[in-house]
Amino acid sequence: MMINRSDRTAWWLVAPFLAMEFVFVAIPLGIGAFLSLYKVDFLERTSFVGLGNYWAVLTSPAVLRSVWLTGVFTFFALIFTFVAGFSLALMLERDSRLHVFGRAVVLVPFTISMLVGSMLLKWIFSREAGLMPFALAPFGLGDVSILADPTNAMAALVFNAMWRDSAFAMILLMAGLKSVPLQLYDAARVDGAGPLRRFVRITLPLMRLPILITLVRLIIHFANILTFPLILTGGGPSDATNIIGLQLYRTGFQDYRLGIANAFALMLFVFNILLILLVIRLFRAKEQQA
Amino acid sequence: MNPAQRLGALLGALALCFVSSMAMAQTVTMWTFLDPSKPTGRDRALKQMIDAFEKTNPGITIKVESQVFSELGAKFLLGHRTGTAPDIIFVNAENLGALLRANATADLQKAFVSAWAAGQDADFYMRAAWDAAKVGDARYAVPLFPATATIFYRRDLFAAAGIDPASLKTWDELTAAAKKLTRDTNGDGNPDVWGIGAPLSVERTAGTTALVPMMQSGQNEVWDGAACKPHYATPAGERAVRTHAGWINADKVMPREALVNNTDDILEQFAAGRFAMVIAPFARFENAAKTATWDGAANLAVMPWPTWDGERSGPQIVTGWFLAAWKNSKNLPAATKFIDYMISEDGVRLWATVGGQVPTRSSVFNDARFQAPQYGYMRTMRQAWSDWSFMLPTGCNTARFDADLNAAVHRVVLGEAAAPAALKEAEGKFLERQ
Repeated sequence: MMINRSDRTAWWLVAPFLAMEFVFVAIPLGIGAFLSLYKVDFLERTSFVGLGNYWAVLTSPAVLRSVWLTGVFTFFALIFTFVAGFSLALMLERDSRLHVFGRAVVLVPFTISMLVGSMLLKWIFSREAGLMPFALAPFGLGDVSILADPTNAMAALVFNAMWRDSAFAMILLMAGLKSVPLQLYDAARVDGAGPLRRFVRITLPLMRLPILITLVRLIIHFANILTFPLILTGGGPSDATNIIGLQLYRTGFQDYRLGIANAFALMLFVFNILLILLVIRLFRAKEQQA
Repeated sequence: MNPAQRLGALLGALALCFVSSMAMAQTVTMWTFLDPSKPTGRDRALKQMIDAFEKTNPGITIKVESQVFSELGAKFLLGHRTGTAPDIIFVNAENLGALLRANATADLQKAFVSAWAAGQDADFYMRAAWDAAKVGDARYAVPLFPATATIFYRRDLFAAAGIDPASLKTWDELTAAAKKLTRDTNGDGNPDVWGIGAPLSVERTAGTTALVPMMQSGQNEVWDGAACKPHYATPAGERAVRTHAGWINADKVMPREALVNNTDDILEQFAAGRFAMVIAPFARFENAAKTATWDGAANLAVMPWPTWDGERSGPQIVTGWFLAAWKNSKNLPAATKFIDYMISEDGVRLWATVGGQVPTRSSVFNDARFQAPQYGYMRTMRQAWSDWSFMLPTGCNTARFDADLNAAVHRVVLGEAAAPAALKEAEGKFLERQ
């Protein structure tokens, strides 16, 4: 196959980035895959265990529980974040000064670091020193301990996700909304369609792909999250918020069981790749639609 | 000799001088979490120490490469495997076992301790720490900053409640005192000042559990170090877990929120006046006194762990920082010489006076300045360490053992499991890591 001049130039231009990907992604991935076949404690490779580490991950009660908790967290975080993000996108879609200001305000939690945001919420939720007990006191709930109760702690984690990432969902969905032709709304209005009907009949069908892309990206984000549980709940109480990211972090960087951690990480990697392939397919479908 | 030859000879002589000076000069690289350019106590002490050492050893330069403290051990092991480790390393007690197993550090007994005058060795009164890295006749690390968790309390609140802290010899007496100290000052039905606070989160609570001192004082051993087996699910273990759960559920002297509080959270609330007693790392004493919203200088004090029978003070787990030299260092004699200096009487004095650390040597403790009232907390801890201190089994992976025990308390507090089952789970987690 002949490579023409412009193709060659393109390859030269992307070569540095491909080299970086190779050095910083492909090689560590290869090393990780290699180490996942060994017992590695404290960076010391001891014995070959084959697929033993993968089996240990799949049969570990702690890992299985973290998978279940991640499912619960992702499900609720996804629903609340998506609904909040879509509502905000619809409310702030116009480009008036007020709407632009509104967008800037909504983006604040997304622009501050995850760590700082989670620490802030931890203080707010603290029964001993936080604002939340004051807010709940008029409803007779001033004594409720949010972070020390397993169900409430998971709810706090979901709130953290929604508080921070609904702005991210808003941006993605707003880009989709901007691409919906305004003439369609004008025509529907002339035909007597109300706001709800316009939303159901025009907005939702034309937003199908942006919505799917947003959902998949949020799933990838939530399924891999570490900072929220690490800072807000520490995985507790009683491991009630010990989701996959935290379990993986602890196995590798606190327990120093790097063989198992690598096996665990590779399995999570495959899951992520599947989701990314789904996003790519969705993008292609969108291009074909366009 | 023509001018060109003269110039050549001159350049040759200069090059020779340069090469010979390079051959004589040694740069010792040290990885530490300290930074001599910073103004805090320990950083300033290190700076002064380096200056003094380099002055008396003109051929040696100490090069400090500051690291994130939590990554020091792992990075050193990686450096050891790739041949790029520094000459000197600060290592925390939790990573000591890994370094020993990797056979990565030099024998300091042979390097300098064996050459000490008689009695110098015994000057290190915290024997568990001094012998922590001793294998046979070899010694692969020496203690620098001893650390432990203990009970911080407020003198003013104790006085107001009419409690003499010296009278709290048993855990039951401590619980009774905590009940007396728990107060609802605004009458809303919720305590504003809790009797006791403990960091029971499973995150960032390393080395701050009171569970092990309770268990250790109730039985002979908590771990079988040789087999790396924990003995948690014992009557002593059950009693320890039930006491903690009781503080929250039955006695109501500790808020349920403690289940998710780490050491920082507990100390912040202590500083804000929410607790009369807290379990905290001793190394945070000075900072806690400074940040307190009440008069910390006058009212903050420490007490050693109680025991179940009250016959002596409870066992102190020794943690903290140690010094080691890389065994493949090309500057090993210079590196061990600097380590020797850092733990010499002069060195320990600098760490104590400038760095605010508890002196590791009895001889320094006997200085007149440490007899002053403001150092009373140091004397209390020295006594506790001398009475009963022990190291975690360095040959085992003890990472997160305290998180496992805290999780057992969670299970009992939340009614998810009885104490024996919760402790069995904790044993299982420990064994899984070995």
